[in-house]
Amino acid sequence: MLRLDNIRVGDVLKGLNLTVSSGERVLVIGGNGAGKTTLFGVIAGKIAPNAGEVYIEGRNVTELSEGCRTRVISSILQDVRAGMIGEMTILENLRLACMRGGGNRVCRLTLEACMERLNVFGMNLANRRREYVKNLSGGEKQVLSIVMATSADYKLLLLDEVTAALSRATSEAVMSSIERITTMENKTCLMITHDIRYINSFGDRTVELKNGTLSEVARDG
Amino acid sequence: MTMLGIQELLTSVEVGLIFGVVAMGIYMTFKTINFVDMTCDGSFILGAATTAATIKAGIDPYISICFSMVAGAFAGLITGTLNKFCRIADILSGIIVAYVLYSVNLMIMGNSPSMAIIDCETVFSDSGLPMIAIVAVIVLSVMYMMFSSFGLKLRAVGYNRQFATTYGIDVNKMTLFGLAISNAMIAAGGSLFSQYQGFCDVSGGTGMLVTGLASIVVGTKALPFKNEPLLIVSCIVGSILYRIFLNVALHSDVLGIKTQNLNLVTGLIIVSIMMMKRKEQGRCLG
Repeated sequence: MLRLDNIRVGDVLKGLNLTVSSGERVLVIGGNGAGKTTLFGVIAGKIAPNAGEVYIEGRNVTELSEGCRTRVISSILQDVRAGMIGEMTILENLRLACMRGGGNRVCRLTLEACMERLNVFGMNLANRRREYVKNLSGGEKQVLSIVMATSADYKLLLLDEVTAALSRATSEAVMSSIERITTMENKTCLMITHDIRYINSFGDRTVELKNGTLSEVARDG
Repeated sequence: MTMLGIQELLTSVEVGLIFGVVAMGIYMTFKTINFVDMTCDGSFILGAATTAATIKAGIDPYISICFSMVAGAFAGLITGTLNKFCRIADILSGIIVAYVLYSVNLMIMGNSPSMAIIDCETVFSDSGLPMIAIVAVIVLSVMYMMFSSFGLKLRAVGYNRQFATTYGIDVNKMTLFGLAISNAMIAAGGSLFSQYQGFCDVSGGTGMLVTGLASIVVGTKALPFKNEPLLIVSCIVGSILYRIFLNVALHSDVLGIKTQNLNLVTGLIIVSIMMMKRKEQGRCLG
């Protein structure tokens, strides 16, 4: 589903290869400055590599249009403010998320599904749909960003340090929710993190980004 | 002390309604799409000149408003094109277009600095009611648009461009749409004003931006809605209130303010309301 062929970006990524099957969930770990965010940008098509290609379902990511790319790849960033609009209500943010990749028509089913999904997280956000996002707590914003990112019919979910600014309890709730949603919908997921707590628990396998290349990490149990 | 009479009050409401449409246009660029658009001084007169010329040519006054709006939208599109495709800063793009429009407006009016339509039929010929209906149609259309999916995208571009890009919204296209709609509204205001006063003066657009901003400041203070589509409507109320304040100030013998002090009074109104806002924010921060 996702294939990285000999990706090179300056001195950060030095001939990186990775293949992720459809429905597989992969955790990418690495220390500070290892190039995790650069890798994220390359896969999302925001950073052009000096050499190598990124293929999603056999199509080169750089050849996809902006609209097509946003439909295929859904991403959640560490800075949740970039993934939502604080001056709009929860409902308005979800409407925008449901319209992702073009078209003005809001899919009502998707919007309703989003509301149901908000309830699954147990934060009572669906009943507060008219509330402004800027008034939500950090955890609530992260939950909303997950629901927004998974609202459209995406192929690949990219997560960059999504638990970095969250408390331990909220992090675990967020991680288990991501796991549950991606398993339920059989979506391919690539999570980039420096947090080694989830090395054995999240997804199907773990790879480590070190010295500009990726290597498999053996899991305990 | 001379009090404001009923006639002056009605005049304030009429002029306030016309300039409320202009204020809505200015609000759309400055707040909704977050674009510092200086085209308005030119597009207001572009609307007025187009209306004067078309009415003079025997075209129906209502149709002439449509012509003015199309001309205004075109001016907005040029500003947007200069900014988005020629990489000229937003503020400079607007200044250049407003500067160029001075010559264009003169050409529209047959190279004359003014054009009288006082003896022609206008939307004000019978009563002020058609004008109220036109303003109501514009306000309702803008409100409908702002609550629609299109309006949501427009607001998203103004609030968070990174978000808009991530969610596949074409920021350049939406900015161009926003500028076209905004300048069409400003031109509609110009069209109505030229019909109201019965002539068009090529230099009549000077200070339009400040007048519009004053209306926005007063409106958002008087009706501090949280919802942006409603905030746009508060520009109309703000414009009417601003005109009443201005008339009260100019008719007050005690204050000794004369017509030539108009800009001074406008500036003072804006500064005092903005200072009130700052004071309130400071109190909230404790």
